[in-house]
Amino acid sequence: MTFFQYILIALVLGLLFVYARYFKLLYQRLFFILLFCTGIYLIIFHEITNDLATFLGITRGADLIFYTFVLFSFFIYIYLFQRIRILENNVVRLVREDAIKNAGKPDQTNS
Amino acid sequence: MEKTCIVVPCYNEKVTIRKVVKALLHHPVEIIVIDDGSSFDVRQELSELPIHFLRHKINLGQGAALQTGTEYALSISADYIIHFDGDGQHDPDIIPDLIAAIKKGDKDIIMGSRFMDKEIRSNIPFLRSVILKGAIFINYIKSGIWLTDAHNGLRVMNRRAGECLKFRETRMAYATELLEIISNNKLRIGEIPSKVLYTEYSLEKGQKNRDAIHVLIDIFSKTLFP
Repeated sequence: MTFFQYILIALVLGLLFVYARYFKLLYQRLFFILLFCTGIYLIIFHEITNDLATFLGITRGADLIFYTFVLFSFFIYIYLFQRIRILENNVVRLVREDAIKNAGKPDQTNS
Repeated sequence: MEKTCIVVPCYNEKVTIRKVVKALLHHPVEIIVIDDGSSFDVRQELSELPIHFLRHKINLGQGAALQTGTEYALSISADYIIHFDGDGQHDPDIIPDLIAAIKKGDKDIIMGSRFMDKEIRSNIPFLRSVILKGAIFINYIKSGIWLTDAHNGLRVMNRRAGECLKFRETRMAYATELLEIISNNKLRIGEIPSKVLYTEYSLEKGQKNRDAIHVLIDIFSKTLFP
C-alpha cells in the first residue's frame, strides 16, 4: 500500500467516526458501515475499479469513480436546491401572512 | 365606485418614499406601501399619511413585496391595481393615464414602457438600454410575448390579472415570470409610454446593471429545476 492509500483510509475512518452518531437506526448503521467498508476495500484493492469500469464500458477505474462522483454531486445539488426552494417558499408565506395580518395605517400597525 | 390601489414596494428608500407617496396621494386611489424589511423605520417616515402600510419582517425581494401588496389589494376589494416603484423613478402624473387605459376594458394588464417614446428613450443610459434589449429577448423566449421594454416596475392591471399573479420568483426575476403568467392565463396585454427619471440616487439605489446576472441565474435555475 502507498502512503496516499493510508491517508485515504484514515479520512474514511475519520468520516465514519464523525457521522456515526447520526445513524440511529439499525438499517442506517448497516448501510453506512457497508458503504464505508466498500470505500476502504476500493482504496486497498483499487485495481478492481478497472475491472468494474471495463465491465461498464469505461476504460479506467479512475474515470468510473469520477463519473460516479459527478452524478452523485448532481443528485445532491438538485436535492439541496429543492430543499432551499421549499424553505424559501415557507419563509415567504410566513412573512407575507404576518404582513397582511398586521396591515393598517402607518401609525396603527404594530409589526 | 371602482377602487384603484397603488402598490408601492419599498426597501431602504429613505430619501424618496415619503415624496413618492405624497405625490401619489393627489390621485383618487388607495396606496399600499410594502416595507420589504428596510433597515430604517418606514412606518415612522409615513406615520400620518392616509395609506395602508404592510411590513415584511425580513427582506424578501421586490417580487415578493409586489405579491404581498397585490394580495392585500385584492383582499380590500381593489378593482384595479397599479405597481409603482418607491425609488422615485416613475412620474406620479402618469396615474390618470394608467387608470384611463385599463378602464377601457380591452386589456387585462398594461405595462409601462421606456422605449415607446423617442424623447423618453433618449434618457436611458446606453448600457442599461443594451441590457434591457437582451432582457426583452429573453422574456420573448420564455413567454412568447414581445414587448418594447423589460423590467419596468410600472404596470396597471384589472382584478382578474391580479388574481392570476402567483410569483414564485421573489426577487427581480419576477418580471420575466410575470410575462409567463400573462401568457399561461391568456391575459390581454398592452403597453403605455412611461417616463423614468434616472437620477444619481435611483441609479445608485435601484436595479444595477450587474443585477442582470442575478436575474439570469434565477431564470436559468428555475428553467432547469422548475
